Amino acid sequence: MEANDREVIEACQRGDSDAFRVLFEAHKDRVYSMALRYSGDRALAMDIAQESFLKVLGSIQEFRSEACFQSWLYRIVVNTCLDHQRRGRRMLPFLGELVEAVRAPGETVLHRLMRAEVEDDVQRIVARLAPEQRVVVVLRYTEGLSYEQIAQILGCSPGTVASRLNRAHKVLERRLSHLRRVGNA
Amino acid sequence: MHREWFEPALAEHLDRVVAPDELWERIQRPRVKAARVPIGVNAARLCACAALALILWMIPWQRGVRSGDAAEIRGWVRAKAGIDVPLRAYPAGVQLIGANASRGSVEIAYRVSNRDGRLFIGGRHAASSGKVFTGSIAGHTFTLECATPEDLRIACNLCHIG
Repeated sequence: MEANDREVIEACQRGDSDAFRVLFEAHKDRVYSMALRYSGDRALAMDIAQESFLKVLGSIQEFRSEACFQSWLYRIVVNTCLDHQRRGRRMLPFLGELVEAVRAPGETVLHRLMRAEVEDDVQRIVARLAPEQRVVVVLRYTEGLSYEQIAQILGCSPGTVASRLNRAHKVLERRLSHLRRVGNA
Repeated sequence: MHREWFEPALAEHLDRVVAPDELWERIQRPRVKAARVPIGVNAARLCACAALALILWMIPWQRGVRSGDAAEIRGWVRAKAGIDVPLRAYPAGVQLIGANASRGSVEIAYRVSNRDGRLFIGGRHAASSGKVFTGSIAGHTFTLECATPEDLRIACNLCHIG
């Protein structure tokens, strides 16, 4: 952890609200993206991200400065995602992605729609994976973490991560095979 | 083998996105999320609402009497509303159905040629027309409603002889 991060976290632990804003700005995209890619639903992702940051705010006192803040944060987000899953919250794709795509600059509307459709497809299929596989996929592909880092966050061995990812790959490869055909065409 | 196309596709379509500005607002002012109710509970609530609606729909007749007997209806109305409606025992062309009393008024239901009609006593005052007749009986205003003018003429037999 860099000295600057440490100072921000220590300020948060003293109850400095400006410091929490700095912490939020530094990690908001990471937290929201994980929530969105896990849930496949913008509204639900907002709920998960909100809850995650509130948990950070509520338990920042317990964070030990010698630990890795990012891993600690990842664990909170992962647990919040899994909590939402356990509570039976809906985890489905969203139409908003299409709307967002239409608004994206620099592309034709058709291209945007096609890209949004593919993205929606991928997200929908990822959202149907078993929770423990989905978490690994999100940490791997949204956050770009190594097997070791994922293992550290999830508290399991890198072998377990590899195994879960392998199972997820098989499911995803089968369900996303139409993308390959599109790509080859 | 799949890595050629599969992992880049995942990385592309699952990449990081920008968090909405609203997120900070949400954290500053956490809203209480409504708990998602299981389908079974919703179904039970729906059934309860349907049952309640049915009960409410039935209430007027729970406060009333269903009978084709003029004497029974007359006695019931007198007991419930303190109004003596001089119903004839066998009104020609009119079939009595029942009565109910609510909020200081009485409603007597009947049928003429299989068409519904109502006799309201107290609490309801409608101007007379081809299908409605308003008058006074035993010191109470009454309104006779029918589907047709001919029915209205026959409905007078409830209390009068043709």
